[in-house]
Order: sequence, then structure tokens, then C-alpha cells
Amino acid sequence: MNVLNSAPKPNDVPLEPGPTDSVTRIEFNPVVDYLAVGSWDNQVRVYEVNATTGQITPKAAVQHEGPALNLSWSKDGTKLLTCSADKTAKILDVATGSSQATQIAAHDGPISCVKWLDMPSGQGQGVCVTAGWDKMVKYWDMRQPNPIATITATERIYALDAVDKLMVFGTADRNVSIVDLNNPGVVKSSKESPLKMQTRTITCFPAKSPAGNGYAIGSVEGRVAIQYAEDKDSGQNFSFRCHRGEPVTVNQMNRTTETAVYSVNDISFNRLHGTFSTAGSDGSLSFWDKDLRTRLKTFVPKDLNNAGDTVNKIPPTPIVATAFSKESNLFAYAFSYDWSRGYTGAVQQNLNKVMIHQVQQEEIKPKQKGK
Amino acid sequence: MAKKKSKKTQFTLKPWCWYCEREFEDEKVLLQHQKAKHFKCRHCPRKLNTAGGLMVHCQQVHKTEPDKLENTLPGRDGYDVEIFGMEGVPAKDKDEWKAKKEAEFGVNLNQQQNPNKRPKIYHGVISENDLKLALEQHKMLMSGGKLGSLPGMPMGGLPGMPPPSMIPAGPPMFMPPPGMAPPFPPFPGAPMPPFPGAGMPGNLPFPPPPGFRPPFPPMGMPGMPSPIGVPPFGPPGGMMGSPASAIAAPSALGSVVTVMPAQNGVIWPDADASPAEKRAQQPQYRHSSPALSSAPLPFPDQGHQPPAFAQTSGIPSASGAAPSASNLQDKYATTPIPEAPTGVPGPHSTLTSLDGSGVQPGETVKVENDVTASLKRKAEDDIPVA
Repeated sequence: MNVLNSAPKPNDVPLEPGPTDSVTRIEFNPVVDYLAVGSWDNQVRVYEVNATTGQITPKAAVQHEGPALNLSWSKDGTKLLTCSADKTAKILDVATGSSQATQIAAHDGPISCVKWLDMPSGQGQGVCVTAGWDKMVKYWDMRQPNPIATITATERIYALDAVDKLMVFGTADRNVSIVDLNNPGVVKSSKESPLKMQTRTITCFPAKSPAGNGYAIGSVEGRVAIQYAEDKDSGQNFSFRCHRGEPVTVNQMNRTTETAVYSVNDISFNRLHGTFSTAGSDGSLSFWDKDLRTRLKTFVPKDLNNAGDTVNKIPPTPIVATAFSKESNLFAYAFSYDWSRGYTGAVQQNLNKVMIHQVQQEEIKPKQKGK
Repeated sequence: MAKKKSKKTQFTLKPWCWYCEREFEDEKVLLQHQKAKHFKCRHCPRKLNTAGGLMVHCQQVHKTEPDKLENTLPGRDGYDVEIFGMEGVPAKDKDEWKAKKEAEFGVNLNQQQNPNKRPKIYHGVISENDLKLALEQHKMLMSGGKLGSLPGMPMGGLPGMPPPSMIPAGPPMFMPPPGMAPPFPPFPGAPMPPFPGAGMPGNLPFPPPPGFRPPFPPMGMPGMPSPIGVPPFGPPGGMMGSPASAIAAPSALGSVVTVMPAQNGVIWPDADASPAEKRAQQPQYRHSSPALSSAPLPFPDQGHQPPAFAQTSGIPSASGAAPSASNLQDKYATTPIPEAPTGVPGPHSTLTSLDGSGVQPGETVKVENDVTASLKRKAEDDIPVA
């Protein structure tokens, strides 16, 4: 499977057969090395990735009637939740090998987010949350046609994530709301995003003593903020710039320069070290350590064989989604056009691949202090 | 030669000397001029770069107070203004000069009345009203120019309106007179989509008859670089046969949703919509399955429920209401939490607490907008590159 042997580094393997349109979201199963890939071609595909041989086997697929915008695995790894612009969310039982996904949720608009919640429910099947562009957050126990609780947000919901009892969602008006899942029907606190521009992605990170849990938020303006959920930790909040181009002189006369500022499309934390990755529309990837506030590793587009088309001035393909596997030994990232340049940017030179990267420990291991 | 002529018509401010209001081709020449004419020492052959320099030179070398500057306009012979080329010119004088030059240039333009001047083409987004009016005009034209037959349309067209056959100069011409009702109802069935060109699935809103040139480029997407010639979006490498792109091919060229161009380097400056939302409005991503064939467009939504859930009740009230103007205005209004589904026998211990959640039915939940001081963001510190 090492098709990219000729390429110097890294030795990443593409998923075959990949999705036929842009990728929206990818996530590794928390129990086995299954990777789920959602796509604008209305499908969510599940692949088995063998970490030692690199063998990739297609396993299952969920068909929606609109673009599959998001997905989430259950905690025990047996169920896959998917949601779509067709205003539905579905569940697929991967363990039974069933090929039929059942609808579990409905919204009045495209559903942009779905997440399995770590909440006990009466009969053990679990609870999930969906959120969409209809400004609603709805909780479902996946057997009843009615939501068990809802929250009306101020605006369309662009990003949502949860860890433990913390759920965070970001809306189109740049608000970020925090929900305590002990009391899921109400928003515990809501504030303006620490970033000045549109929220693109939110990923929660677990508590790491002595600090509590929190979330990382990425905006369309090449910036990431690390925010802790509790007030006592707020002194450690910070934000940083990333995924920006080199300054380019735009006016020779007064020597003004302009830096291309790209969207931060996805943030993924690994469970092994608690470090995280960011991926941007500039087609680059970075690994970071939030505790020491250092960058561990960067893959510029050239490193990823994603230099774009210099002849026709096609920029490198954005990276739209990332995921760490359960043991953090595999890292998946998806090249896809993200519509940031509109229709005209949708050209055939754009890559449309999900790549599997064998993680080297030094890429994600925090550097020792004082070194 | 032709190039030179066009240059003449282009308005540029040349560098000029503040002291004597003389224009120069080049800033370099201006500097030479200032040195030679205004900043020359009277006691020695020395030429200085600035008035201040000349003053210091006189005081230190010749131990005299410098005389007034030479060859200047009255009132501009002092040392208080530090001029170097075009730098240091007071803003007031700069503006005056610019206004003067523009006036001169404007006069020239009027005198010339350049006959080759291209007609102005409007490149902004054309408003709905204008579109409707244009369509109306087009209909009028197609129906054989029965001008009087249209309600609300005065005979002979609007004041200042060109005859309909003329290729028009731009939307301002089509402005409806105040108080006039839109001459025809919006497209049947649905509220107008927020974006022109979106929400018109499949067929084109203005089918141009053969041989007729529409009043302005159709599909309401001027200002966008023409996507014609750009292949419809599809996966690279021989996968064009996928259903999504197959649908895309015929319709995508017609109506596409524009995105804002980059601003200050920010590739996605649009605060109102995410790339995914804009993308979902593309014709090829609107689904219409046989089961939901009567379903409205997925976006903007209209409170449609898929059949599987259609017969159930108790779905929050918002689902029933079509988006109306008042709804939109109530963007930030609170919505009562829907009552918990009743009659569900529950071993769902947590779920019942979920539903109860300390909120009584009817009580309102609002996403608050308070930024506590402690949570205010710290000064941004860039992560040092390790």
C-alpha cells in the first residue's frame, strides 16, 4: 500500500476508494481503528485501517439525501452517528454489520453537528445531540421521534463538541455557549468568541490536572484560542496565530504588505499526550502543545505533496478535517476544497483525498521544559 | 499613440512642490528642484535637503539667523513646515491641491466628451426590485411592447428609462418610482431566497429567447468572474460520473452562489455565512429524493419535516412556523423550551431530570451574552516557535 514510496516524506497512504466529493469531517473510532469519512457526496464511509500493515478496507457506508456534514462515534465504538444537510441524523450499528442506518433526529434546517454524549440513559443506548443551521440544539435518546430536550441558540450553529460533562457550541454571531451536561437543557454561560472572526471549529479537551477541561476554537482568520471552561483556569486562556501565508508586497510605492490569512478548519487532540493538531485552508498541518505553548511540528503543503499548481496559479488544497486514532499512532487528514474561494475555486487540480499518517512520537510528544 | 491618449484621460496626481506649486513628473526631480530653488544657502554654495537643514546650517556655519526661503509663494517662506519632496505637505494644502486638480481635470473631461468612452457597466449585486423590474421589461418586450398593459407602469416607461430594446446602462435606471408596488408577485410558492440566483432550482428564472439579448447578464451574478470554462466542481481523476457532479454539470453554470472576495488577506471575510452554507446553496448539493419530491429546498428551510417524523407531535413550535419577516426580526428573542414529551414511560431516570432540568415549561431559556471580566481574553501571545 505504500504507494507514495517515491515521495520523500511523509510516507502517508491515501484511503482507497475515497469519497467522490469534498470531505466534511473525519473521525477515528475510539475502540478499533475504523475511520469514518463524511463527504459532500452525501455518503459517510467507514474504513478499517490496519496500523501495522497500512492495509485499508472499506467497511460500511451511510447514505444521506444531502451532503453529510458531520459524524460522531459512540463511546463504545459500535455505533456511528451521521448528520446531513437533508435535515436528518442517522445511526448505523457497525458492530452488527448492518448496512441500514436508521433516522434518529430531524431538524428544520441542515444539521451541521452531531455528537455522542457521555451521558447515562435509562436503557443504556445513550444520548446524542444534534445542532443545525435552524438555530436549534436538540438532544435525542435515539428511540423516540421527539427530542428529549432542546436549546434555542441565538444564531445558526457552526460548531459543537463535548467532553465529559462539558458541551460547547459556537454560532454564526460569534457567540460561544457552554452547557453543563448535568443540566443539558440550559446554557450555563455564553460569551462572545475570543476570536474576532467567524467561528470555524471547536474541539473540547479533557481536564489535565491541575487545570480543568476546556475547548480550542479556530476561526476563519487563522487564529486559535485555547479557553478553559472554568473561571478559575481562565488565567491560562490564550490565543495564537497560525495558518498564514508569507507577507507579500502589494504596493511597491509605500511598501505595504499583505499576509494571506487562512481558515483553521479542524483541531484534533490526541489522547496520548494531550497535544493537538491544527489544519488550515493553506493546506498545511501543525502539531502544538497548549501547556508549554509551543509548536511541535509543521508540515507545509510541500511536505504533504500538496504544492498546488504553480503554472495555473492554483493554491495548495486546503486540509478540511483531521483525526487521531485511539492510540494516537495514526493521524488522518483530508485534502478537499473547502469552498473558501467559492465556485471559481472548485477546480480539478484540487486534491480530494484522505491520507493516513503514521505518527512519530516526537511529532506529538511535549518537549521537556527548560530544554 | 493610442496608449498615450488613454493615459491623458486617466487622473493621476503628480508630485508637486509645496513652496511654488509647480508640478513634476517625478519625485526625484521635485527633490532636485527644492534643493536648487528653495534650500540654497545665500552665504555659501551649499544646498541643503530641507528647510530645517538650511536653518541649522545657517545658525551653525554662518552664525546668522537664516533669511526667508527663496522663490516661494507668499506665506510659504517659513521654516516651520518641514518639507521633503511630497512629505510633510500639510493635509489641508494637499486636499486643496487635489480638489483643484480634480476640478481642472473634470473640466477637461467635459470639454473632451470622449466619444469612445465605454458605457458604464454596473458590477455590484443587483437588488431584487431591480431584477423584478428588469424581468418586467423583458416580458414587456417579449409581449410585443404593449407598454400600457402593465399595471403600475406608466406609459412610455419611467422617466429616464431607456427604451426597452436599448442595452441599458445599469440598474439605477430601473429604480421603481417611490410608492410603486412591485409590479409582479414574487416567484410562486416560496419566500424569495436571500441570494439572487439561489433557490431557483433547475430551470433558469429568465429563459432568454433565441436571438434576444437580455437587459443585463442574467442570473443576477454580475461582478463574479464568469465560471464558464471552469469545469463544474467534481472530484479529480475520472470520478466525474458520481451522482453529485452529474447533477452539477447542467445546472451549475446557470446559477451559482457568489462568495466575498478576500479582504486584507482574509480568505473568507464573510461574517454572515460559512463556506459550507454557501456551498449547500449550490444547485448540485440540493437534494430532491423521490420520497421528498414535494419537499422544499433544503436551504433556506421552511419548517419541513421528513415523513418519518411527520405524524408525531410535540416537536418544538419553531418547526411549524415558516420563516416570516417577524420571525427573522425575532432573531434574538427567546423561545420557550418545548414541553417534555409526555406519556413516555420512563426508566430514563436521567432523561427525566434532563427534561425537568430546573426549567418549567413555558419558562424561557435565553443564551446570554455576558462576557465576564475574568473571561475576557488575554492579550494574545503568539506561541513561540520551538
